[in-house]
Amino acid sequence: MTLEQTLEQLSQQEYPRKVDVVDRVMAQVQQKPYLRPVRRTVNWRPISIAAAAAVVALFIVNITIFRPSTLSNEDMGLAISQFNDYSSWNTVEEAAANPYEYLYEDDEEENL
Amino acid sequence: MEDKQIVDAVLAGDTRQYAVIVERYQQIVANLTYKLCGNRLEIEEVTQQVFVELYTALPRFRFDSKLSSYIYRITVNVVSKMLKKAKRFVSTDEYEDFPEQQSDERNAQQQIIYNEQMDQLRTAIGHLKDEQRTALVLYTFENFSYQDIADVMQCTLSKVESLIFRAKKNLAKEIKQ
Repeated sequence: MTLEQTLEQLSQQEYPRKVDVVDRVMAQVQQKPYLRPVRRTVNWRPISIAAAAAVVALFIVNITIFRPSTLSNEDMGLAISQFNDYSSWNTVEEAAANPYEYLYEDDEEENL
Repeated sequence: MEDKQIVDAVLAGDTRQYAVIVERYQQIVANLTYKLCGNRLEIEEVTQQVFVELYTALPRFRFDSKLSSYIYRITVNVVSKMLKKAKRFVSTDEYEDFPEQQSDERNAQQQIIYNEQMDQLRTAIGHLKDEQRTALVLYTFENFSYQDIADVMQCTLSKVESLIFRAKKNLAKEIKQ
């Protein structure tokens, strides 16, 4: 008898007894409340994928808009002081009325 | 009543319906278990464990495949786990003597040879690696297609082909010895 034939013979043989585990399974299943399945109402998979995508998008937007300045501390200080100078102008009209004052202010200071 | 309807009813809270699933598949599970591990003392225990595990896994089952395939997969996992735990292989003395068919048509000598061959084959199957034994049993004894086996074992088609090929090769080698 070949291997295939022997396997075929063996495949014809089944567990000779009638199995009945219904009561045992049901008793085990119902006695343990933690085994009680929860009714599936929400499919969390697409929700979790969308949430993960949103987190990644927020991260990218964050580092694009609020990326750290490349200015050194000295440059940053200069920029702030210049901003303060210009902000000391009260109005555009005032600046227009005294153009030379503003134009030559630095020069005068240098000449002094 | 379709499997899906029963599963939906169980998940909706009518847990008594689960008995129908157990009733429907318990003998199939027992037969597969018997071919996989051959230990008749564990058959009912394994069958019970399979259905307890199926019950806890039901909320995750989405009917992407047949319920029967899912049950086969759980059976294979449970048997494999229990065999590893017990570290026990199939041996001839663990099998129950089958009621021999057509015994009146065989003479005594043929009967002895036949029984020896069957015992030798069972022992050899028991010596196969878990994956090879599972693939071989599903293909040969349960008439699963390669694709069905790949679904049950969660592996590729080529791996299934390879497992079955190696299983047969190892069986032939052991039987010749």
